[in-house]
Formats: sequence, structure tokens, C-alpha cells
Amino acid sequence: MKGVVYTTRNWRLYLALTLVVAVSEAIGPKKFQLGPGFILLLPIVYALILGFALHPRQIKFLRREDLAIIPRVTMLGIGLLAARIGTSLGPNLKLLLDLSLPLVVQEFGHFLGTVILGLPVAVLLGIGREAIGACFSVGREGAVALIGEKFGLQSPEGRGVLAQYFFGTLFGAIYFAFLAGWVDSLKIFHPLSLAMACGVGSASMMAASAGTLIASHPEMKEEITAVSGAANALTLMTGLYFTVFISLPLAQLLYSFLDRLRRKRQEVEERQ
Amino acid sequence: MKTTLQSVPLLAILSLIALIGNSVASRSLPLEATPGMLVLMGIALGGSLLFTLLPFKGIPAIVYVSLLGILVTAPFSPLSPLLVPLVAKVNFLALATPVLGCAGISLASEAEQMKKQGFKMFLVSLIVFTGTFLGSAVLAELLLNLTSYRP
Repeated sequence: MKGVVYTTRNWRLYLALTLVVAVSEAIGPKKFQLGPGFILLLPIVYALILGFALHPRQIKFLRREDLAIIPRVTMLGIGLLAARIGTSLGPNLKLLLDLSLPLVVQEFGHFLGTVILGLPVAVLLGIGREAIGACFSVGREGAVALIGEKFGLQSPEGRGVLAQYFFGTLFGAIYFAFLAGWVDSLKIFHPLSLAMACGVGSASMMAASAGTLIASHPEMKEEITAVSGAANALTLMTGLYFTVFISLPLAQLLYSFLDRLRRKRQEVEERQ
Repeated sequence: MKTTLQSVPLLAILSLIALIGNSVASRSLPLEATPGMLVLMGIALGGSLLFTLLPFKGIPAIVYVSLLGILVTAPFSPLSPLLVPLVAKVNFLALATPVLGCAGISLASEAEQMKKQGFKMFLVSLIVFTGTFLGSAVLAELLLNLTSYRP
């Protein structure tokens, strides 16, 4: 009973969350045009904004003690999400078996896409070795641990991965949701390809992005959940090996190469 | 084992909050989705227990949770005809809403830190996300076309 007593202390947080959830769901999905495609706003976006507004800095209701249990609540929420994903995967095992080859191959896309797109942009922006830490992976817990071990978190690479982890935690889910929705509205990709792309190795990022796809393709909702869930699990399980043997070495190599180019260009400019 | 049991009250409260959101989202009564939610709670707790009991820690706990979810709803599971319709009443997105609400509060806590990181790193993080998404989407689409699979 002790656990129950302690738990009820944070009633303010529960009330706040209930309000956030009820209002967000009541508003419901809304579509906005952006260029050739659409941005889909979902209850999860409103929830993020409302949650932000309810912080003690903005509104005097929640207290420090309430904020302290948020990590636990988040973890439990992700547990429920994972359970729901499993229950979508189960009935769709045959679909996943049929898609096993694309599922495996697209993992390479996850781990190479970050480096190939991210590093050149980072180097162009003038970022140093932080780029290696920031661009070799999406930068979840595993990546932070890896960089911490190899370079130390005080190093430039360490700063890079921490920044990436930081932004990912704050914006990751929402950005992926927008990205998935917008790319989907372009109608270039099959929804299940995008569903696979949503499995980036983070439950909340996967939920937000897959959720956006589901909102646009409700008839495929179980398949999308199953496929993204499988891709996400694959990324989580193979992440360590992919990043250690492929992404990180590639990031280091590419950075050295791009950095050399950048220096040569600087030398040329200085001479002129 | 102890910590799993200690989370039960909090999990129950969170599930209730999610249930309310779910009923608003699906315009139905919370009672309808309650059995499904209880099933999900059970799976979450069961998976968490498995994680604490098994010695190999290389696999994150949520993988155990989803594995358990798969096991009980797979075609070969005797429970699946019972459980699948129950959990179908619980909207996947409705479970994500409270999680994102919490994330919003956390975001406000970190707002100062965010400004220190600088705009460049913020931009890079967006590019990295885009890269991982598109890289995967392109390869998936390619393979889907090559195997000419159209589900």
C-alpha cells in the first residue's frame, strides 16, 4: 500500500495529463498544405504543446515533485506502446515474413542515411569533429554509450552525440511525425516503405511517425503498426553492430575526407 | 521483481489517463476499451518481469514487452482469438498522446539548455533525422518494387 500512497501525491500531474490528453484528442487531426504535400497535425502534437505550456515556468500548478516522476511515467507509457505494437505484429507475422528482405535491406538505409546526408551538411556549416558524433547515428542511448566509450563524452565527438541525443529527445518524435506525413502526402512511396522507415530505433519516434501514416491510411493501420514495429525492433537490436562496424567508421572516414576538402578550399580562399 | 510490482499503481493511473484519451479519440465509452487496456498492462508488466529475470541485458526491456505481445497474439497462440479483438479497441495513437504530453513538459524544462546548443546543431539534427528516414524509405521502396510485392 506504500506504493499507492506515494503515487497519489502526484495527483496534479495526473490531472494535468488527463486534461492534455482529453483536449488533444478532442481537437483531433488537422491537415495543412505545405508545398506539394500536406502536414498532418495530430493529437500528439497538441499534447506536446499543451505539455510545454503546463510547465511550472508558464503556469503555476505542477510542482518540482510532479516533474520528477515524469521519466517514470514516460517509460511506462512506452511500455504500453510496445505492448500494443507487439499485438499488431502477432497477427501479421506472415506479412512480416513476406517483407523480411526489404526489412533487412532498409536497415542499411537507416544507418547510412544519417552519415551520407548529415556529414556533408555539418561540414558545410563549419562544424568540427562534433559532426562525427552527431551524424553517425540518430543518437539514442546506444550511440551515446558507444561514443562515450570510444572518445569520451567530453570530446568534440561526445558533444556532438549529446547534442543529437538532446534534440532527438525533445523534437525527434514530432519532427518524424511531420516528415512521415509530408513525404507520404507526396505519394512517391508506398505506405509500407514509409512504415519501415519509421522504425528508427526509438519507440516514441516510431509511434509518432507511424501514427501519422495510420491517420492517412486507416485501412492499413494494423499492417503499418506491425511493419514499423518490426523495423524499429530490428534497428534496436542490430543498432549496436551496425554503428560499431559500419556507421561510425564510415563517419570518421567521410569526415576526414570532407574536412580535408574544406581546408584546401580555405587555403585557396586565403591566398586570393 | 520488486520494482516491477512497485510500478503497478503508476501504470494503472497512466492506463486510466490513456483510456480517457482513447475514448475521446474513438468517440466511445471507456468501458469498451478497458479489457484491452488491462491486457496491454499485463503484457507490459510481463515483459518487464522477463527483462528483470533474464540475465542477458543486451536486449532492451521494451523488446521483451513487444515479444510477449507478439507471442500472445500470434496465429499459433490459443489466446489470440480472445485478445486481438480486445486490444483492437485501444487506439495506438491514443497511447502515444500522454507520452508526448510528458515530453512537452520535459521540453519546457530543457528550454534554456536548448538555446545554448546553437542553431547549427539543431539544423544538423533535423538533417540526420531526415537522412535516416529517407535512406530507409528509398531502400524499402526499391526492394518492395524489386520483389514486386504489393500487399
